Amino acid sequence: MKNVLCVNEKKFKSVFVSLNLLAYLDAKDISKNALLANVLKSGNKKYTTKRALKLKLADLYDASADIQVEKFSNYLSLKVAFEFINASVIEKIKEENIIDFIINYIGNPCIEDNQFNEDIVEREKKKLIEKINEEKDNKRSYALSKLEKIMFKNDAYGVSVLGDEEELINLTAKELYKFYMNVITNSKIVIQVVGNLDGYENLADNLNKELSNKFNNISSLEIKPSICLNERKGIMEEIENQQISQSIVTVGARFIDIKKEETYAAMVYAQILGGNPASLMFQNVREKASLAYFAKAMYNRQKEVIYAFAGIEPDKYEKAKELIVQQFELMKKGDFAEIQFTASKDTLISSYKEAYDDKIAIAKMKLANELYFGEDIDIEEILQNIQKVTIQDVINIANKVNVDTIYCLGGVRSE
Amino acid sequence: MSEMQVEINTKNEDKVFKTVLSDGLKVYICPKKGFSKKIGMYGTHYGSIDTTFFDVVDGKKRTVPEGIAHFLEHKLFEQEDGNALDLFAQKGVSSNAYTSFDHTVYFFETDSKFEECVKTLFDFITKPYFTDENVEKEKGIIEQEIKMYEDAPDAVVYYNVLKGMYNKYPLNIDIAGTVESVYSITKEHLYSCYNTFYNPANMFVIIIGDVNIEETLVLIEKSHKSTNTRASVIPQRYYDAEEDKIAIKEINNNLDIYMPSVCIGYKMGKKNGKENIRNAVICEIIEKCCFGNLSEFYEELYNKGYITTPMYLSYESGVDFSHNIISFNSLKYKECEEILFEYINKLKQNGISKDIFDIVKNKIIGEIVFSSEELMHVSRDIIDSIIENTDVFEKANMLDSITINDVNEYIKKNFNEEFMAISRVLPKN
Repeated sequence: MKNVLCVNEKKFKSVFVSLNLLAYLDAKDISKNALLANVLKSGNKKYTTKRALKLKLADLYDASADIQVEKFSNYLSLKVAFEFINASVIEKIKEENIIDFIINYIGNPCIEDNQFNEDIVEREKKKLIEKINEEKDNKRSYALSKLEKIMFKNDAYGVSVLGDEEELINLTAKELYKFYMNVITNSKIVIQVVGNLDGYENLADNLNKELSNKFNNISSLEIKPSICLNERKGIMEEIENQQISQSIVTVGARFIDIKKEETYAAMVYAQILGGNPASLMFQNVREKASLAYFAKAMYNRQKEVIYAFAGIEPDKYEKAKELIVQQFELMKKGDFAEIQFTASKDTLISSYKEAYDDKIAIAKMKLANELYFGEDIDIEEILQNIQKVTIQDVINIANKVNVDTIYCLGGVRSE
Repeated sequence: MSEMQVEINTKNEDKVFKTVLSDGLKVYICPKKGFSKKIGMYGTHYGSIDTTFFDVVDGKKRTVPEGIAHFLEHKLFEQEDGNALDLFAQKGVSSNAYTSFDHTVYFFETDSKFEECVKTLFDFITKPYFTDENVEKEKGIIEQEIKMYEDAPDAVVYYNVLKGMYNKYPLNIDIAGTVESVYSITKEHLYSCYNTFYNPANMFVIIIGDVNIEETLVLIEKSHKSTNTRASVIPQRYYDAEEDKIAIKEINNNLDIYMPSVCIGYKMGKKNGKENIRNAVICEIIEKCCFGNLSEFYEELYNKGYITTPMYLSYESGVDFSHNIISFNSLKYKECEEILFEYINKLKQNGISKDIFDIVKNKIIGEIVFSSEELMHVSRDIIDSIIENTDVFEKANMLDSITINDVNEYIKKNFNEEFMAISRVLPKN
C-alpha cells in the first residue's frame, strides 16, 4: 500500500491533510487509542493547552485540527486531520508552518518522566466516560450502535470508537505513554492530501520525510485487503426497556460468503431494501403501513452486514418486526420493481459523484478502497461496476443475506 | 428574459444572480464552477407561526390547527398519479423538504438530471392533491415524527425555552404541532393554507451549482409559465400582539437520558431586518470570543470538568421577534448556571479583549471561505435575505464594519434577566 495518496482539485479553496496511523484492530487497543487522541488534542510542548492550539488555528483563518479513532474492517486508524485555506485565497499560509504544526500536534506531546501528565489523562478519561454514557441520549444512533454491539459480541469491531468504560478506568498515564510510543513506532502511516494543492505540490512528500526523521521508523505492518467471511446463525432477539415515546426496532443481517466483486451488488441491494424513498422499507413500512416516520436500511461494507430500522409505536412492535423481516424475504424472491432497481443504481452513482464535492469524503473513500480492495480504484471504474450490476446479481446476493439479530430499544406494549 | 442583478460576497467571491419575475416569484442563481452537485429549491415564506390569516379565496380570517405548515409540506409531494418524492427517487435523485417557523422549502440534489428535476419540482408544487384518504394516512407518519422529537433532549429543551419566552406569539408552538392538532387537520385546511401562501408573490426559487446562468433563468421562466395557474397575492397574516414580559420563567422536563441539557433565552423584541442581520454577526463574534473553545471561560469550565463542549450562543430572529439563546449540556448544570450569570455580569462591566476580537474576526473570515465549498450553505444567506428583506451577503460584507465597541454595547444592553427564561431537560432518575 502506498504511503502517500493525493488528489488535486481546483474547485476547492482549501486543503485537507490527514495522517492515518494504521494498526490491526484489537479490542484492547480501542480504549487506549480513544484516550490517546484526547490527550494529544489537549496540547503539546509548543502549544501547551487546548486553548493555545485553538487560538493558533483560529488565527490561521479557521484552520482546524483533530484526532479521531476510525475503524476500517480489520484495521484501526488513529487519524490526525488538518484543514486550511489555500494561500491563494486569503493570505500566505506557508507549507513549513503546516508541517511544523502537524509534527508538534502528533509528535511533541507534553511528557514528564516518561509519562503523560496525570491530571490531563484523568480529566480526559472522565470526559470520555461521560461521552460514552451520553451516547444513550441520541436514541436512533444508540439503537444502531447497540445492534452492532450485539452482532459483534466477540469481535473487536463491536467495541465503540469511544472505547470501553471499564478499560478506560484502569488506564494509567504511564501505560498510555508506552502505548503512544508503540503507535508512532509500529503503525503504518498513510498520508492523504486532498484539495486545491496549488502551491502545496510537495506538501505530502515533505511531510512524509519529516515524519520519517521524527519517528525514525519504517513500519513493517503489512496491509492485506480482506473480505469478511460471515457465518449463518439463528435469530436472536433482544429488547431494552427505556421510558421513551417511540421504540426503535432494528434488524441486523449478514452477507454470507460474499465475494469481493459482489460488493457492488450488495450496495445496490441495500439501496433497494432501504436506501431511498423508492425503497421497500420506505414504501412498505412508512408509506403503505404508516408505521414509521423513518424506515431505512444501511449497508456496512466493512463487515459485510446490513441494518434495517424504523421508529415505531411501542404497541406496533410485533407488526413492524414482521414487516421488516418480510422485506428481506421480498428481496430474495426478487419481488421489487425494475424502477426500484434502476433508481437504486442511479442513486448510488449520484452519491459517488457528489462525494467528489467533499474533500474529506474523497480521502475516506480512497483509504477505504485501499484497505478493502488493496488498490485505489478510480471513480469511473466504481461507477462502471455499479452500472454492470443486474437484477439477477441482486437476487443472488439477497439469497446470501441471513437475518440473525433483532434488537428493539424502548420496549414493547401489547396492542 | 428577466433582467438579473448580481451580488458578491467580498470574503469568498461567491456570486448570486437574482431577479423577480413579473408575477412576483423571486429567483436566485448561484453558480459553482467545478462541482458535480446541482441543487434546486422552491420555497414559500410560510411556516409554523402562520396559523391565523385571511384566506385568499373568501377573505375570511381563519385559524388552523398547529403544525399545519409542516403537514402541508409532507402532503404536497402527493400527486394524483403518484408521489413526487418517488418521482425524484426513481430518477436516482435525492429530494426532501423542511418547514421552519417562517418558511418551507422543497429541494432536490442531482448531478446529471438537472433540467428534468427543475420541471418535476415546478410541477408538483403547483399541483396539490389532497384527499381525505391521503391526509388520514399521513397522520400516523407525522405522529411518529413528533414522538421522535419528544425523545430528543435537544429538541425538547429548545422548544421549551421558546414556550418560556413567548406568551402569545406562535413561536411557542412546535413546528410539527401536537399529536392532537395533527389528527384534527383536514384537506380543507390544507387547501386554505396552500391557496393563501403558495402563490408566486410569496415564493422563491434558488439554484446552486455549475450551471449556465442565462439558460437556467430561461428554464425557470419556462417551467413557471407552463405550470403556474395561481394568482399572485401577498398573504395577510395575523398574530396576537406579544407582550415584552416572558411567559414562564422556568420549565423543567424529565427524559430517560444521561446528560442534562439547558437553554437560557433572552427575549429582545421586534427589530428591523438590517438590525437583525447585524445582531446575528455581533452574536457570532460574542459566541466565539466569550463562550466558544477560544474563550478563557470555556477553558475554565472544561478544566473543572463541568462541560465537554462549549456553551453555545445563538441569535434568532424573524419579522416580529428576536432573542438570544445560550445552550449547554452538563452534569453540573446548576453550578454552570451560577458561573454563567456571574460571567455575563462581568462581561457587561469589562467587555471583551482586543486580541481575541481580532483573532475571532480572522476565524469568521475563514469560516465564510470554507462555507463556499459547501453548496447548500449559500441558500441560508439567500433565505435570510428574503425573510429579512436585506442583501444576500449582508452578513459577510458587514463583518468589517463591526467594532469591539459595538460588541461590548450589545452585551451591556441585552442579556437582561428580566426577559430571561430557562428550560432544562433532566434525567428521569
